[in-house]
Amino acid sequence: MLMPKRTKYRKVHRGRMRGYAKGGTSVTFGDYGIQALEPGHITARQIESARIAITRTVRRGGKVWINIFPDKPMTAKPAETRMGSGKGNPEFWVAVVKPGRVMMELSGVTEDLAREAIRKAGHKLPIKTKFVTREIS
Amino acid sequence: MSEVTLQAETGRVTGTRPSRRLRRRGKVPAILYGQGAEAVSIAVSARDLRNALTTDAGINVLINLVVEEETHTSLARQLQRHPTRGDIIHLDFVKISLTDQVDSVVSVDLIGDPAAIREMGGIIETVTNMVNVRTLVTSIPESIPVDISGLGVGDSSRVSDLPLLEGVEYLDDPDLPIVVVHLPAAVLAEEEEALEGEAAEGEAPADAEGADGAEA
Repeated sequence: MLMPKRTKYRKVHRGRMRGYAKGGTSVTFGDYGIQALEPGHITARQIESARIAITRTVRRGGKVWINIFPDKPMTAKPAETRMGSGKGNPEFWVAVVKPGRVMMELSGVTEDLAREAIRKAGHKLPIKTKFVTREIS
Repeated sequence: MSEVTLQAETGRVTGTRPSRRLRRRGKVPAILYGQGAEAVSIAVSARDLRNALTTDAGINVLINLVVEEETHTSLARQLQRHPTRGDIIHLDFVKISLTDQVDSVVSVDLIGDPAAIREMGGIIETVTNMVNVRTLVTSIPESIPVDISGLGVGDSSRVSDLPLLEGVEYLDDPDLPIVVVHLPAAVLAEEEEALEGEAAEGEAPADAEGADGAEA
């Protein structure tokens, strides 16, 4: 699964997810992409799950790009622990995604197959998504 | 070269909130400048603009912009789009003369089906689907055809391979690839496995012979 090799700080603040994605809102590497329509934290497991859904759908053909990286550590307290005693331990990694962000891209397959692959990948993610294609800017 | 006429109104109030109000009324805030004239803030109908920019010429359509009963020949540039809806939220109209040379972005049209795809299961990776060209305003091509039928695995089509069109100068690096044909990772992995299998089969009898020899 994706995670940083090393970090400056073990724990970070939760932060806010306001507004739209500032960049990465168009398909640049592949021919088709999956775009976020809502803000959300996408975990490394969800990214991996979506990637597997795409590669299994396109089988032999196609190339996949993952444009997001889970670089934010999320902490959790152990089960049956009383509140207090400081922040919990880092448990998993997430990517902060804002609306408009193209999260994954795909090329080398027909549009119908790409739509199906992106639809299945969208089911693995905790946010609303849509299928996008590369356009002339 | 297709031409369209677009009505524009002047006197819009600038700023974020007035612009949002304009958009809610079905208008798109824009600015008109070029040829040494002072920039004018204008607004155009979103519906008319969408129709104007969806001709075969795409964003390189020649727009006759009617501002206060005066017509300006212009090109639409610097289109800003909403991140999810894709609506145009602002654009620039650059005044031009019909004898001007202009820089524009033109789409690349891939023609043909490489044999490497049909026979070997290769895939086409599109590195870029547009090229920067410098031409006369009146002769901006709608698209540039690229024949990729002769490409094999590992081959690429570059800017230097594009057809020479009369009056069209390519501004991109001639070595810039447009499409690359290669085998997908899954096929490469299968080939590697097959090679490893063959190597293992080749080694096994040799070992057996060696063992026999030792026994003898």
